[in-house]
Amino acid sequence: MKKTDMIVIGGGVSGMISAIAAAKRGKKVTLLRYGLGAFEIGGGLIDIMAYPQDRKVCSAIKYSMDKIGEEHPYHKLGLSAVEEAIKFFLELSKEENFAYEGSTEKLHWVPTAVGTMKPTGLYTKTFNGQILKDLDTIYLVDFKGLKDYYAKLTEKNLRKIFGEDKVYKVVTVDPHMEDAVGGRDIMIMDIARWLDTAEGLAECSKQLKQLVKANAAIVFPQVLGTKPDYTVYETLKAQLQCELTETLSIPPSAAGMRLSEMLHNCARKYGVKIIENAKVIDSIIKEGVCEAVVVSGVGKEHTYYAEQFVLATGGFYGSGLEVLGVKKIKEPIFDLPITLATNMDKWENLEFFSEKKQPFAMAGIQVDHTMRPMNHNGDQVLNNVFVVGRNLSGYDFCFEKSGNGVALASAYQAAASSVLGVEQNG
Amino acid sequence: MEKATVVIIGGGATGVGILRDLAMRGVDALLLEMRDLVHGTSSRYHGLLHSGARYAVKDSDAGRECIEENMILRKIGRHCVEATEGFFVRLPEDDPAYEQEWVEACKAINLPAIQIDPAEAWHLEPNLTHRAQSVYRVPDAAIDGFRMAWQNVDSAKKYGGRVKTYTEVVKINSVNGQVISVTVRDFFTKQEYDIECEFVVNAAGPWAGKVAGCADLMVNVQPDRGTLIAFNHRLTNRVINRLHKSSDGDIFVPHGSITILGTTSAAVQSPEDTQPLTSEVEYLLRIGELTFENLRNFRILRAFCGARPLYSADPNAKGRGASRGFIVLDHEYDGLKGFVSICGGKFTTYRMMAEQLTDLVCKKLHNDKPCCTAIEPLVEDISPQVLAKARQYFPNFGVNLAASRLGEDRLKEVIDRIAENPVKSELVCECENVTMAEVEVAAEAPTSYTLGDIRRKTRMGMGTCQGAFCTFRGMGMVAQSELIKDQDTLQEMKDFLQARYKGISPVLWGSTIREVELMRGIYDGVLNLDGEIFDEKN
Repeated sequence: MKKTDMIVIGGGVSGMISAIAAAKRGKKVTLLRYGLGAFEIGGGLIDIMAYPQDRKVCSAIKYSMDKIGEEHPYHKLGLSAVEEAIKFFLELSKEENFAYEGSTEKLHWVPTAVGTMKPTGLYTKTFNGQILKDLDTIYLVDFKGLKDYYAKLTEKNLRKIFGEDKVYKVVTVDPHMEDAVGGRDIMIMDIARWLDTAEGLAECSKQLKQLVKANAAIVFPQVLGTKPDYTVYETLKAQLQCELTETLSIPPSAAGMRLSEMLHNCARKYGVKIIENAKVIDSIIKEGVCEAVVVSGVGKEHTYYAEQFVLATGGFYGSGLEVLGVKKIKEPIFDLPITLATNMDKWENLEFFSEKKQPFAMAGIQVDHTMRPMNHNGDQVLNNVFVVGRNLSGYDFCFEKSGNGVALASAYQAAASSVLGVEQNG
Repeated sequence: MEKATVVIIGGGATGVGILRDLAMRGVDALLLEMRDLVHGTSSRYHGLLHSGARYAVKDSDAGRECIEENMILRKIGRHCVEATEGFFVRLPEDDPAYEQEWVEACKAINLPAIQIDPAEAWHLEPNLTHRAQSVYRVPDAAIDGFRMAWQNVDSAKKYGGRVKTYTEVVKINSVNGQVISVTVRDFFTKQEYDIECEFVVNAAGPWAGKVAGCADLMVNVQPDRGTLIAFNHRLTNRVINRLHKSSDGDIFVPHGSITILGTTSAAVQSPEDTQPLTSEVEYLLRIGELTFENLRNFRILRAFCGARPLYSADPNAKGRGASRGFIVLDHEYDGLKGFVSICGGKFTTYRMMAEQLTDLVCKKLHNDKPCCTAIEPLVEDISPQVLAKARQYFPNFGVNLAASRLGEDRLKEVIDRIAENPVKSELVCECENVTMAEVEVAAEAPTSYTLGDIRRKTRMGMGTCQGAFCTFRGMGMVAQSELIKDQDTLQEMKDFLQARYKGISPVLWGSTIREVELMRGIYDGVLNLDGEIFDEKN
């Protein structure tokens, strides 16, 4: 029976961070993943917290710990643990030569493809809403034949925010791609891959030089490369002598792919063993301790043994939580107790963009400050299992703009707890 | 001042049927609808073209009308009807005595109900329960309420019929007991103005009482709320009815790739009360799983709600006890000449109702032209040349769908746009195969003011993803080409998503809640559509 130190189930942000952080602390880690997490949705940003309570109060986490409620994962972690996790991530990204910026103190605003601004926490410098405020000329770059990008929609709504005094202009680059994609639609990822190539980048730069003047802000769809580096960004910025920003949009997100690849590279560097296409379907538990998890394979099942386990399988979207009916939720691997939001007499708000957090979105697994799962009496359920990311109860990541932030902080905490040995709650 | 000989109030099945009939008889008619065409009851039902079998026992007249009209609509509206046929299935819990009564009643109205071996029924419908005691085939069919209405309007337009949507009648004006005009309010600008007319037809369905009130008259229509579920699967190829005394949750109707289960019945105060409830969905599922035992394994797309217009002379009669038949009320008897109301009825018999009402109006207008709506098809068949050309641009399976949906003229228009600019073959809605060119054509129609109007015309956003992707794409396209003027695009997207979420919120489990987490992730989490606006203090 082969046994490793830690098995991480799930390859999204929370799974990757747990694996990296535990490996850095000397653990032998195997990561089982099935799918790509929500990288292609999240846009490569680490949202920490922007709307702690309602849609009117917009504030960074440092100044809103008192507003988020006791059931919130940040409350369990405490601000200093969140800050430590952020520090860890910023250093990690620097090591990988794809430095993120940001803090718990200040929101960073990023333009979206519909021309709204979205507040985030940690970001790559390819996302920079500030330049739209600072500069007087704003170019919006479109690509001929590109699907899922509508520069005029972006422009129309950005005008409402930044005013009519500025000059707005849509410019179109022709990637000459019709033949290359063989008659199918040209997608954002096609353009991003084109810009990964030296020829593509040179051609794009050449065309843009004809279309834009220096010292302006240039708004791009999310196409500045698929690799976790700043080559495309720096090259265009230098050659055009303009400030650049990308926009957030519907999936797939090229920036999410960059973050995914960066974490992948880092995980490999620290010896994390990644097993793809591994769908964990069950666990083997003896006397309150998890011994192994069972993975469905082609024709047979495989059993993976470890000392510790991290559950990072996501929420409803990631199938880490299965909903059988109203308020009937199941965590399918360990059958962990599910906590619904406190004072929840409802399951849903009738407004899609409701004034308050959606009750169903707050459902999940309750943990103690070490990220070990608890039952409704507040007792630890399994002392060698840690729960991280969207499986957790007590927060609505869509409403708060806190998704990857909770993933990062809870994952880092799980790794930290894992080296401290078993600790009894309370 | 604008003028029309006859003003028809209400853009549901009855209203558009009357518009077509009047126009075909050469009467200058204008239809006014307070929102979009068929935004009310005519699109909020199961889409069943009744064979009449459901009514055979209780109301043989209604049964007879249904089977006659069923045969007519199959011919004149063949692009709206899918001739699925139907089963009536008796389960062990259903009264066997009723079966005998029902067989006799079908015979009496010449409705072919052919008994088949339950084993054959399972062979044909593998999801059907094996507990069925007896099964009959009847000529039920599925009908597309949206398409039926637009094709009526298209046909009416050829004869000079006119339509104004988002135009609400607020007052019916008269002089010396004779209607002279209506005062209307524009939904968007809120401006009020008059339209001169000789005759007003109230075909407002569950809103008929409200419209009558505009002339200070009373019409007793009780809105009766019916909730339905749309499954994201074609779990049956035939309409499936329970063979028992008509009740809730006993009809399944397949439409394209989905199936609708309905309905409930409850008297409500307002026909606008169309938020479906989880309790209603659960109630329908409990009944439905008697017929399809594995029903809960199928993903629910959404639930929706409509208000039946039940007319009763007696204000105390409610629900299924009240008449589903219809009545034409000539308000000349109430002292107002030139105003008639048509109340009650069912979708299947809309054409016949329209005919009877139009007969009355024409008599008063001394017009003796005969009704031809039962003979002339709503739309011509698409020519083989256009279909052949369409095959060059649409995926093969999509050609017939697009042809039926668009009709010849619009199909040609769509093909021409794609031929001119191949980028326009790009799919805006991947679930329902709606191309950019089609969205453009729909958006340019004078009755398109919102993304929702485009949705109803194209089916964009009505498929599996329920708008998760096409809300952004549809809005982007419309904004890019400035197809609709002066839009608050962010509000439009919010409204569009809210309309989708309205039907999803009562069924938040299984794959449906996964879809919602994705939708919220995109529009709230990433695009921050409703967040605080970036301003100076940030």
